[in-house]
Amino acid sequence: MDAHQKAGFLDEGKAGRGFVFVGIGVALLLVGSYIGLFVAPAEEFMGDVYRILYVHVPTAWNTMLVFTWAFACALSFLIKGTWKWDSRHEAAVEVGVVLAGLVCVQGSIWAKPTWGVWWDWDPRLTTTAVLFFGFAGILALRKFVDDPQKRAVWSAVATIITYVDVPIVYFSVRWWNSLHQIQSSPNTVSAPFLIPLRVNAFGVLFLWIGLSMLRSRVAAMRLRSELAPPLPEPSPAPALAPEAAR
Amino acid sequence: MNIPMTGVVHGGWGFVTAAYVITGVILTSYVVSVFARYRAERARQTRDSGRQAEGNR
Repeated sequence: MDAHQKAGFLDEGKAGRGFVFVGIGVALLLVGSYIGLFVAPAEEFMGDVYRILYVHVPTAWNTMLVFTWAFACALSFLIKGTWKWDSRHEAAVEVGVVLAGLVCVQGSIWAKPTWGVWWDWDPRLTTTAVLFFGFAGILALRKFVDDPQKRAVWSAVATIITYVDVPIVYFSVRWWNSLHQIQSSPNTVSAPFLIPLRVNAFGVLFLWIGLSMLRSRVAAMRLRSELAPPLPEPSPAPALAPEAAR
Repeated sequence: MNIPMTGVVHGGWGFVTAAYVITGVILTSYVVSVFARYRAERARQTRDSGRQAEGNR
């Protein structure tokens, strides 16, 4: 165990697994999207438009999962105080913000032909937008705070507070009257529709795990250089003797 | 085209294409950005450790 591992930094040598996870995720997404677009039958009422759900629903599920991971990382950092949890936390929040933004865009494209509007201040949509802006705010907070210790603690506390919105997003369709349909289950979805949904769900899962592994290594490397003592100035070029300079 | 009101959505492939293309573009851009930042940090780390070794000599 080297000094950095003792200080609780993430081991940067194990990033190879991240590339493997990203590769598996991309492959699954390509297969799932192909089945969803060209193999699965059209839906009885929504026709072909429902095919958007094969990317929208897996992205939404995984957005909640990645924010749950961010919450766990934030909590672990506050309890254990080791830097690896801060790096993992930073990565999870960033990946989650990308997925949450994507969910809003996909949902909006689906809403136009089915609801007749691009956006509605419906409980599910509003709470999801709050989730996106809340975690985007945490990323902004991390950018503006220079002291690594304060940055880690403040953003971990902010994540724990913002995470309260995740169960609200999930239950919003049950608690309030919502345009958005309630959660589906394998009992309410026909078998031909389930396969692309599951393949894409695992695709997004592998993708965010892989990206999170790589991104947390980036955060760990930046943190190490931030906390390291200043590097020596590069040595100046040797001065030439007057005769040689001529 | 005059379609009777049946509650069934007709067409919509344009929306489907837009959703998949936007998803692909956003995810690909993010993957490329993470890979690029990872490579840049690795390169910087190698450079810094070289300078550190030079300073120790």
